[in-house]
Amino acid sequence: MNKGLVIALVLVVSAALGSLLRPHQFLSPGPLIQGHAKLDQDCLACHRPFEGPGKCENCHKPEDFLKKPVAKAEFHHKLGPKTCISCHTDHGVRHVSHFSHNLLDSKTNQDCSGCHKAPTDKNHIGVKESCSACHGQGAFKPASFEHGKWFHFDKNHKAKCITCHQGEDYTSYTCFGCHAHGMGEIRGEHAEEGILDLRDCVGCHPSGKEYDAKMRRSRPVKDNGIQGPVRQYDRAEALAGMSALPGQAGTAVDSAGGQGVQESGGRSEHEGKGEHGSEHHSEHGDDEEEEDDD
Amino acid sequence: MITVISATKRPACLFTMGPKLFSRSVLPFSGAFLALILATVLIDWFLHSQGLAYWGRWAGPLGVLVLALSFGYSARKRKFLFTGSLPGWLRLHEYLSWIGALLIMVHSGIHLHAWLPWAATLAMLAATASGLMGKYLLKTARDKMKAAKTKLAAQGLTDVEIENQLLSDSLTLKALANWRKGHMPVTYTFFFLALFHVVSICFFWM
Ligand code: HEM
Repeated sequence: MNKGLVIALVLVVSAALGSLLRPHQFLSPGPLIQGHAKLDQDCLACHRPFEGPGKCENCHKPEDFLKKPVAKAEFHHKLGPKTCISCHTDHGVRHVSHFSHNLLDSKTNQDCSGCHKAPTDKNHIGVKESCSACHGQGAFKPASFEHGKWFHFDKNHKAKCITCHQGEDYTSYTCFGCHAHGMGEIRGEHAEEGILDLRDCVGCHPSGKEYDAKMRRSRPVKDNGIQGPVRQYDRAEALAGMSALPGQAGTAVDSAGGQGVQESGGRSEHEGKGEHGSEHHSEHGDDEEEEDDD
Repeated sequence: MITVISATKRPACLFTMGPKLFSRSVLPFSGAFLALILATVLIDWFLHSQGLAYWGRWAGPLGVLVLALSFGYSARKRKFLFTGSLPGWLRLHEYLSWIGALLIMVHSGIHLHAWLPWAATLAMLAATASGLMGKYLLKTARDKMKAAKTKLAAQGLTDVEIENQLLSDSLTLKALANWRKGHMPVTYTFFFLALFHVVSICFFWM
C-alpha cells in the first residue's frame, strides 16, 4: 500500500477518535467562561445534537434577570430564552455581541431611557425630542446632528468648537470669539440697516458670509435688556427646525428668535475677542482676506 | 526540494538548476504560496479593523463551495463529467483551489483553539503547496518534453520512435507519478478532516 495513504489513514482515524473522546480539545472553540468552567468537558450540557446550544433555561430563568438593575431587567424579561446566544458568547472570552435592538418588542425599542441613562450634559439639557432625531441605534457616537442646518462651515470657518461655543456649552454660541468679528467694527454698518441687536449673527448669516443677509430684512429680537455677544438658542425650537434645509437654517432660528429665544449674556465684546482671537488668527490668518471678499 | 526532470538529461535539483529554471518553476510556486498567506493576513486584518471579523466565518462555506467546484477537474478526468476540455478544467482547478484556500484561510482566522479544524487547515495548506508544486513540475516537464521531441525529430527519428524513446527514457512521467502519490493522500486527509469539522459544526451548532 502507498506509504502516503497509510499516513493519511492514521491521521484521519486519529482525528476522528480524538474528536469523539476529547471533544473539548479537538472541537471546542475555546474554554468556557469562569461561571461555566465546570461544564468545560461536558459539551452536551448546553448543546443539543444538531440543534445547537440552547439549554440555558435549564439553569437560568428569565425571571432571574428581573432581580438585576432595572435597565438590564427591562429588556431581558422580554426576550425569549432561546435568544441568549444571540448576544452572549460563552467560549473564549465572555463578551456581549451581536445585540440587535430588533430583538426587543417595538414599545421597549422606542423607550431608550428605559435601558440607557439619559445624558445630562449641557448639550442635552432641554432636549425633549426622541433620541433618534440625532442618534442611531448602532452607536451613540457619532450623532447625526447636522451642524450645517444651523451654521455651515465654509473654508473661512474651520474653527474649533470652543471658538464659538464657550465653556463647553453647545446651547449657545458667539461669533465674537474670533478677532475677525468685532462688535465695534460691524455696529455702524448694521445700524444703517436698522439692526441693533448684534448677537444672533447666524440668524442672518447662516454660512457666515456677509452677503447671506443681503436680501434679508432686519427682524426684531426680543430685548430682555441683557447686553452681550453670547447668544442662547432654544434647543427644542432648533430641533423642530431640523427638517429645514441648510439654506433655510436662518429661518429656523428666526422662528426661534421670534418665539422666545432666551438670551443670556454678561460677556463683553472684549472678553470674547481676547480669549480666542489669537488662536483663530493663527489658524486662519491667511484666510482673512478671502473672508472679506466673501 | 523540487526536482526538475528532463527527458534526456539527468534530473536537476534546486541547487544545480540554472537561473532560468529557478525563475520559471520555483519562483512562481513560492510566489503563489506567499501571495496566499499575504492575502489572508491582509483580508483578516481588514475585516478585524472594520469590526467585520464575524463575516470571516461565512468565508468557510463559500470556500468549500469554490473548492468543490474546483474538483470538477477530477470529475472530468474520471469521466463523470463530459463538458469542457481537460486542460481548461485543469486551469480552472488551479485558480479555484487557490481562491477556495484563501477563503478558508480567512475563515480560520487567528482563532487557535480547536485542534480538528486546524489540522484540516494545515492539511489544506499542504495540499495547496503540493498542488502548486505539481503545477510547475508539470509545466517544466512539458517544456522539457517539447524540447526533447524537437531534438529527436531533428535527428531524423519517426514520430513512433520518438514516442517510444520518450516513454522509455522519460523520468518526467515517473516524477509526476511520484508527485501524485504524495498529492492525493494529502488531499484525502484534508477532505476527511474538513468533513469531520463540518459535521461537528452541524452537530453542535445547527
Ligand atoms: C461548509 C464549510 C464550513 C463551515 C460551515 C464551517 C463553520 C465553522 C464555524 C461555525 C466555526 C466557528 C466555531 C466557533 O467559533 O464556535 C469554524 C471555525 C473554524 N473552521 Fe470552519 N467551517 C467550514 C469549513 C472549514 C474548512 C474547510 C476548514 C479548514 C480546512 C475550516 C477551518 C476552521 C478553523 C481553523 C476554525 C477555527 C477553530 C478555532 O476556533 O480554533 N472550516 N468553522
